Formats: sequence, C-alpha cells, structure tokens
Amino acid sequence: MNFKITHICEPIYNLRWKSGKVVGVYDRCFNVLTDTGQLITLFKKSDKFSTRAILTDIDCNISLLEFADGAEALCDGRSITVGDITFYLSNAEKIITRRAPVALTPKYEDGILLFADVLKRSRKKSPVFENGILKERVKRGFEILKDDLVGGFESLIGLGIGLTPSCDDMLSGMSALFHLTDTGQVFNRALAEFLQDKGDLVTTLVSKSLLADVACGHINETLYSVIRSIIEGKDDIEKNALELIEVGSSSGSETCEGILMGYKFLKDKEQIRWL
Amino acid sequence: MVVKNYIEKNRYYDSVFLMKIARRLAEADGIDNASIGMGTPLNKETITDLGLNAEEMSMAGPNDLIIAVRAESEADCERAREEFTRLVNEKSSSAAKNSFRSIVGAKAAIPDANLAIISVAGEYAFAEAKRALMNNMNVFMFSDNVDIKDEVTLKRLAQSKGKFMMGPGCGLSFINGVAIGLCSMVNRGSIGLAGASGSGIQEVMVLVHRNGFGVSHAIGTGGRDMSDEVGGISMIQSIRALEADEDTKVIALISKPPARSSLLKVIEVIKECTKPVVVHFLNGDNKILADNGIIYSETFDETAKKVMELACGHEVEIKKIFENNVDVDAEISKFAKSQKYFRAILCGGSLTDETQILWRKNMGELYSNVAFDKSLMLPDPFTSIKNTVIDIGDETFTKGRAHVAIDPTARVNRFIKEARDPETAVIYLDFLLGYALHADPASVMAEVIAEEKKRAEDEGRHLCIIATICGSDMDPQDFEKQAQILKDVGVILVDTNSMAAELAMDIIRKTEEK
Repeated sequence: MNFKITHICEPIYNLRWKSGKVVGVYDRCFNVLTDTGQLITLFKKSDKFSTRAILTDIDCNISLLEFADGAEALCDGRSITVGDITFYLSNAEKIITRRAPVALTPKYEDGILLFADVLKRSRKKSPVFENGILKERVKRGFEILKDDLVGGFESLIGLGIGLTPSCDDMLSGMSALFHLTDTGQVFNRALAEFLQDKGDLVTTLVSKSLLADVACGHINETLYSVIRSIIEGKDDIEKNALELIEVGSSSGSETCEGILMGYKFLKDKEQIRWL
Repeated sequence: MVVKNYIEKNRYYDSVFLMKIARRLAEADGIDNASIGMGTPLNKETITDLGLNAEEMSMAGPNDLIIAVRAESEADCERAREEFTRLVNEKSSSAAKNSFRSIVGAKAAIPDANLAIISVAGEYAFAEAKRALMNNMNVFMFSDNVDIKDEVTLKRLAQSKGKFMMGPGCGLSFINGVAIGLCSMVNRGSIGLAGASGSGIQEVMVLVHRNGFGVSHAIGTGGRDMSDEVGGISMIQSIRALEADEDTKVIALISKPPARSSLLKVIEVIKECTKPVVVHFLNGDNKILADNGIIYSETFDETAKKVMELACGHEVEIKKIFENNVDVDAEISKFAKSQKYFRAILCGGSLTDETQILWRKNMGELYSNVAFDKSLMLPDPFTSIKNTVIDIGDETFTKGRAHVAIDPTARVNRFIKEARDPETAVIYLDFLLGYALHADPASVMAEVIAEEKKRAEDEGRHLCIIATICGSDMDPQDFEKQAQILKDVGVILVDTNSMAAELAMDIIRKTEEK
C-alpha cells in the first residue's frame, strides 16, 4: 500500500535517518523511534497533531494497518517504509510550529477566569488528581520548582503513569504559556537543558521529545490556539479549551492545568526567584 | 505477602486505561494492591512508596511498563499478570474483532448485512455510501459536509436499487422496530413517519407511544432532501414505501421548510397517496397545502394528535404525563428586578425551530444561533441577547466532540453562563433519551442546576428551570428515574416542547407586565 506524505512539522523537517522502530500504534497515528534517537509521529489526515508530526494522506484507522510495535521502519530520503506500506516523501510542505509571543491585552485576566471555569467543568480524569500519593508529590514538586528549577524538574518530569506522564504535560502547558507571554525565558532555557542532559533517563521518549519542542518555542496548533485566545480575551476561549481537553486520554486536561499553574506562578512572581 | 514486578519492554498505554486496569487488578481475589506505570525514576519512587517495589523493577527503563503487584502468594501475582495480559488483549481484539478495512470486506464477512451506518468525515462519506449501495445495502448516513451533487447521485443510485439513502446529516430512523442512530425506542404500530427532523420525528414518535399508539417506520431523509437540487427524492420514496407498507395506516411528514420545486413534487405524490398524510413543514407555507386539500399541522403536538386520530378514526385526548400546576405568579414573585429574559438551551434542532416559531407568533423577538430571521441571529453564538433560544447541538459548540445529546459538556457550560447572567429568569432544557444517547443526562445537568440555583439564591435571584423529556418508557435511561432526578432539584417538568414554550411565554409575559 502506498501513501503520500503531505506535511512535515518544523522540528523534524530536516531530520535525516535511515532506520527506526515503531513504538506505539494508535487510531490516528503511529510513532517511530529513529536510529538517531529522534521521535517522529506519522498521522492520518488530521487537523490535530503534535510538533513531531508527519502528515500523510491515510484516511483509515491507522491501527488497522498491518504492522505493530517493534516493526522496522526504513527511510531512504524519498520514502518511509514500514512492512508493506510505503509513505512517499515528495514536496511535503513544512508546518511552522515555532511561535512568536503574543501581546498581552486587558482581557487576559478575564480570559484566564473563563478558561479556568471551562476546565473545572470539562476536565477529564487524571491519575495525578485521582491518586492521593501522586497528588501530594505533584504539589511538592511545584513548590520545589518555585525556588529551584532543576530540583523541581527532577521532582516532576516523568511523574505519572502514561505514555506522556501527567507532570510532563503540566510542564508543557506552563512552558507554552511562559513562551507566549514572553516571560519565564529562564524556565524554558533550563527546561531545554535539563531535557537534553537527562531527558532520556527520567521520562519516556515521546514525552521528552514533545516537552523539549515546547521548551524551544515549538507549540502545536491546539495548544497555541488556547493560549492565544486567553491572552487576547477572544470569544473562542471555550471552543479552543474544549479541543485541547480532548487531546489524549488525560494529556489535554493536564496541559490545561499546566497553563493555569503557569498563570499562578506569574501572579506570584515576587515569590519566585527565576521569574 | 509476595511482591512481584513484571516488566513489559517498550509498551505504551494511555494513563486512563492503565488506571482502570490497576484498579481491576487491585480488586481481584488475593491481591492486596497493584500499580501500573512507565518505568521513569519518579514512577519507580511512587511504586516504592506504595511498598510495591521488587528486584525486577531495576530492569525497567522510562520506556518500559511496570506492573507491580502485592498479593497473598506467587500464584496470585501470576494470576494478576495473566489478567493484565487478558485485559490488554481484550482492548486490542475488541477493536479488531469486528473491524474490517472496507465495506466490501465487512459485507463478505456478514453477507446478510443490509444496512450500512456511515459517520466518517464528509469528504470520504460519498465513496463509502456508494460502496454500500453497490453491495446492496441501505445507507444511514450521520456524516455531514457531503457535496449536494453527490447526495443526488447517491439517492438516485439508492432508488434504482430499491434501497434507501437516509441522509446525509440524518440523526435517526426507526425501521421494523429497530432504533437507528440517536433514536428512542417506541411501540410498533400503524403510524409511519418520514422527514428531515431528528428531534421533531422523535417528539411525535414518543407522543404517539405515550398515548398507546405505535410507529410502523420512521424514515430519516437528511436535511437537504427537500432542497431544489435534491428535489425530495428520499421524501417521495419514503411516502411511496409507507403507502405500500402493510403495517402503515397513516403517514406524517416532518421537515424544515422545503424549496418550492420540491414541495410541488411532494404535493402531487401526497395527492395520489391512498393513505392519509399529515404534513408538518416547520415555518412552511401552509396555505399551499390547504389549497391542495392536504392536512397540515403547526406543532409536533398537533401532528401527533392528528395522526393518532386518523389511525383510530376518532378523537384522541392527549394523555398528561406531568401535572402542570405551576403557580406562575409565585415564580415571578421570586425574581429579582434584573431578571426578565428567557434562555432555552436545546439539544434538538427541530425543537429549537418550533420554539422560535411559537415565540415569534405570540411574543415577538427571539434571538438564536439558528434564527429564521437573520436580523435575530446572534452575532456571537456563545453570548445570548435578551430572549434567546440556542440549538446547542450545532457544530459551533460541539466541534471535536460527540453530539451534545451524547456528550452534554457544551450544554453544561452554556447553562452555567446563562444561570449566572443576572437578567436570566427562565431557562428551558430538553432531555433526549434513546439508544446511543447519554446514559443519564438528567444526573449530569441536575448537579449543575442545583449548584447554580443555590448560587442565584445567595445572590438574591430565582432561577425558574423548565424541562421536557423527549423519550419513552422503553428507553434505556429509565424515563421515570430521569424525571425524578430533575424534579428533585426543583425543575418544572412539562410534557412537550410546545407546552414548555407556552409556559415560558406565560411567565415572561407576566414578568414584563409586572
């Protein structure tokens, strides 16, 4: 079976690799870990995708394609092949994911309140809020983060049971808010460095890749839309928030919690050394 | 006690799934506790804090899954491990077991299949529907955004093959006693229905059911069937099919206002029909129907009454479900000075339309996100103006989510917004029951209704909440239970959509006079 690659996200547009392994097959996408230790994610036709996305013209459920975890993936510069399936690479467009900060408006505060309200009503169940022990650890981790970035990252990154640990998703939301409000540059620099040095040891590959992208200002459309509409106090805050909450089984909700946590940090900036 | 850790290399599952499995394992016989998570250092610490760590855990890296179990014996631990594998396999095989890569493959596996239900994105729906029809299946299509020329092609193909093309944009049908789509379960009987009006057809279906009558078939035609381009192909096919159907004695047609050319075609077919036909085209031209000697009605209540009376040959007194003894003056006396407006947040598009029609006839301005009169269209669908009725099932509010009758989140959010508006006096909600709909919509809303009523009370306001339940006693949600849940939080229950609109109008009119 042959498919076309139509778009490639900026962080992986110039990636060169020869072989890799399938690491996770889902309805809308599948992940490949390349021989260069990078994560790429091939998606079916979609308007919602991560910063590691390669978009294809597949229109069926990807989990029905005949390959599974561990299958070999090969790339020769013109195509990517997995089992009997080939994805051709000609003229793929680049999707720009690096975002510029958004100017704050007087409606920002109201935007945050509305966002918090929507999240309170619509959030999905998350292990860090259901499990007592995890909840305490998360609370402690964010307290440490206020004084000591590296200590905070060590207490939070990798905490949470799923493919993208809950705290990684929260930090993702926080990082994106800092970036788009042009604050917390120290935070994002430290996060990027921490992930480069220790990311492989402390969290899953998928999570490390996505978090590192956000720390460098690469933010997916869904997350970007939410924060931009909050900052600009636009009418589509609710709509965008609901779309983000839908991402993953709990990742979207946790990312939203991270946005709110980031806002709280900014409000308390006098108490925070690095802000 | 024995503690074991099982490591699955390079295994990934979503966190909610893992939480559920861990809970199931922890509840099994012989198991004291269980935890499952990726082998990151912090997760390992958590597992250790729980006393579930064992030697094997050191072999897990961040991309590996740890299944940590504490049990009475090694055998119990092994059983937990097997149960994990079984649950994981069940998750993947239940997705795979009845899954096929194509309609052709599905038909080959199930040769007796005679109905394809299609809800893929619009751009792919045409091809799938065509394949289904070419494989001698009828089609029920939820999908929207299908090119209108393609709709015509499909309907002509269906007709040539003696099949039905229900849709695109079809919400429900009821065929041979089978509820298809978002549909209530009702008794079989002699009343046949056809049209492009999911909640409208449902309203009539449940009304006839409540009064001891039944439905032979209800055929959804899709929202654009009566347009100029489509020309009423499905509507005409449905009338003829119901006419030929032995079980059907009387036919009702329910739809939005048709294009003139389609209306004229349908009128000719109705005039030839040997069975009585009642026509209810919302906001339509009833004069032309009257001029052609066609029975018409202006509300869903009226449609139901007329078809029942035609079916049995005598007058039918509509049975009351809820006691309508609302003390309107008492309600009004509790409103704060600021409270003067009506806000309806409805799941049913046709119920929204009927509310608009009744309000416009009796009260005047009613804003909406789906207003017939463009001057009354809300500039921002998320913000009400004065008296407003919202079709909360509209795609604007549900993008990325299931229809609001399945996932009520959008309505909960809007309800809160309206409830906190100091100018809101009356809020009207419809509750749709049936297969494939939310299992317990009343409970979801009851919680937030109670909270917001209390909040309003603390602020010196009174919220008058009116609701209808468009469902039957055969629906899985348990009609009586749904009603009780709403009554328990002070909701005023009314039998039908038009009665709810009338009650609301009465309250708002008297509030204005005061």
